[in-house]
Amino acid sequence: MDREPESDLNEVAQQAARHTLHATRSTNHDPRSTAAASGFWPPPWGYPQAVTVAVALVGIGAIIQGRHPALEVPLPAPPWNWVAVFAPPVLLGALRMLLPRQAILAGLGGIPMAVVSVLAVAVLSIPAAVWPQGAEAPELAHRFGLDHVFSSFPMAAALALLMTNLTVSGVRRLWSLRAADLRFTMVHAGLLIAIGAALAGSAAMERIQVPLRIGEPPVTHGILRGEPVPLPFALSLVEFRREAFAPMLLLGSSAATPEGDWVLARGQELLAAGTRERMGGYTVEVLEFLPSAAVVDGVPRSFAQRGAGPAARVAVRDASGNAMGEGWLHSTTMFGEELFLRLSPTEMLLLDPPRPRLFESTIRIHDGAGTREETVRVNEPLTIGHWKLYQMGYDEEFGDASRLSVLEAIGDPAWPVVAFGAWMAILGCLWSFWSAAQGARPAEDRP
Amino acid sequence: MNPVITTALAAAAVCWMLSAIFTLVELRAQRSGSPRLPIGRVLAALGALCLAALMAWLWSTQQRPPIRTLGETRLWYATLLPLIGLAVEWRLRAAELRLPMIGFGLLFVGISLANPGALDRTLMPALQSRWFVPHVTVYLASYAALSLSCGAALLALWRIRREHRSATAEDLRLPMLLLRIGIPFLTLGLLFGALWAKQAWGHYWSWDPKETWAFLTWATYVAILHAAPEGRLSPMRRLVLVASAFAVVLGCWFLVNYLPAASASVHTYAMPG
Repeated sequence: MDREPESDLNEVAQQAARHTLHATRSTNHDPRSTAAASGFWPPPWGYPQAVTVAVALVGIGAIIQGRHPALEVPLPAPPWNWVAVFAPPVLLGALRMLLPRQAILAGLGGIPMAVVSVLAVAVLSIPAAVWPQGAEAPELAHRFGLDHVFSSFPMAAALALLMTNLTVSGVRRLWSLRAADLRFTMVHAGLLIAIGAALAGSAAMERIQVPLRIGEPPVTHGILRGEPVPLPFALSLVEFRREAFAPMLLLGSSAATPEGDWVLARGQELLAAGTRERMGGYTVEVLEFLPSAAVVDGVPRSFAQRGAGPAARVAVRDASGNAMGEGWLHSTTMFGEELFLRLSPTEMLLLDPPRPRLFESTIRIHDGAGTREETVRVNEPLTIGHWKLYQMGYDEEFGDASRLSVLEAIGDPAWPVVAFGAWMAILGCLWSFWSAAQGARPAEDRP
Repeated sequence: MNPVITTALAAAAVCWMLSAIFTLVELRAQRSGSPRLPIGRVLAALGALCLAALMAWLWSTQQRPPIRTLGETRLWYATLLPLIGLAVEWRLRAAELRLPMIGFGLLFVGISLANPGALDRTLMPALQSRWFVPHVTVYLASYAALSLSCGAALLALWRIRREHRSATAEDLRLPMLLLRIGIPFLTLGLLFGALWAKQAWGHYWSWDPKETWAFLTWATYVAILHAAPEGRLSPMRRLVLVASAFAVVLGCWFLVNYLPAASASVHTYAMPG
């Protein structure tokens, strides 16, 4: 095995050198490439040729988009989506192996094309980095698909070029046993597989909203693009549970703005009995804290019921230690109105509604395997066959008393392939990092 | 502002200012062939230790990883910066890297002193994931390496100008090495984020404005990495390119929060304030 190169940078340099050498050989010995070697297109392709190819392809995409502004790139239904995305790169890869001296293929897989294609995708992404996508856009922007850049024809052309480059550049190293080639293949093939599978999978992915309510019969249909669609299982909501952090203080002030608008500044402490906090020149001490309260005749009383919120009795002193007031704070719930403490004509103290710490649904699943109860929460989706159920939302107005839980059933057959590509690239990256760290040596230690 | 935070930040700033002075003395002594004790390096490490202790204290008192808000990511970056910088410096025996490292460190500590941001122990359910810490940490490690790459390139440009000579491949060595360390971290950040998004929301990539900026950053650096050995760009141009590319990182980290697209972002927890 050859000595492992010092770094990926050297590796890329060696690839460029090999590419140049190979292309020179092609020019000298292969009559097929001699034909392609005249005029503007002598191998190896440099940046002018790469830019010309990219501009031509993206330009064709822009013309199609300009003629049909609302049109999005259509992908066929499975399994043809896989064929549409992966057949061209596989074909090009095979051609590259069969015709290793073909100048156009060498150009498509060269470093200038790698740089230009990745920059083409980046440049086309810029509108989405600045303006919200799908929003109302100026006529000219809409005409060229800038309000939906990621499903536009110019973007499809740039992505096709990038995938072509990844394939053609990677094929020659695929069967190599050299460590540097293997590292290169893991990163590039991993990205190619992940990007290709994600593109193909976007046509096959099903995202079905499933709103469930406590006490209602099992739901057999979800909502896909506003239309009811049957689910492969039936679901009913047994219980919805939401836990919240303790509330924080809010100091409202209308003195800072000329219009007298209230500006709210949040405290930093989660409230409990005895909590003391300094904010806006005041010292606030919590004298009494009720985790769950109902307001009766303007006074909070302990009330352990879903839908009730916390209340705090506070004492406020100014910077000199003078008492500024004492009273109850409570944010609006279904069991009581908002209570606040006015400190001056332009300042008041309020209670920030508690923020959610966790929300989860206990659901009953009815399918071919029988009936069973499971829990689904954020970051912990539930797997049913090739479907995954995600906890998406609830009725925030009712908080922990919400009887509604919104789940999303997602069928994503491409995911295992995307994950395989992503992990392959991750391992390649770790290897590249290790290689870069190993390559770092002081000048006097280098051969 | 919390006195513990002020004290730790001020201590780190003082350590790094003293480190800068000792580093300049050390570099001057190196040039004249009479090497000095690496006091500058020890002080830089002490500054990093102050910030590491602050991060540990914040994690303990807030009972969550202190990497949620924009202010906290600044602190975590300022902690990782000297760790990566000193490791590369030790490996390459390149004491001059300490100057840009201290420069960026002081800048971010200064911003944190001027605008500390609020402490907040809450952590939204979507962030309560085993991916949270690795995702943010590899991103900030990449930002640290790429900022050092930018700093090393600026330093090389300054040296070239002072010595009235043209740039050489040796001038590129340190900036490009740091870039090659930063890019794998950047790629890992993207991929970890995609795997996390799949677990939390069911889709691995949604071209959210923050994700789009993350892609722009990655594409910029990948293009520079691939373009670098082509030999079509002079070392001087490559140095300028490496130095200016860090602007895209700053766009992804800070600018995106102020653009119209931010209104459509699910990354609202990373907003200022």
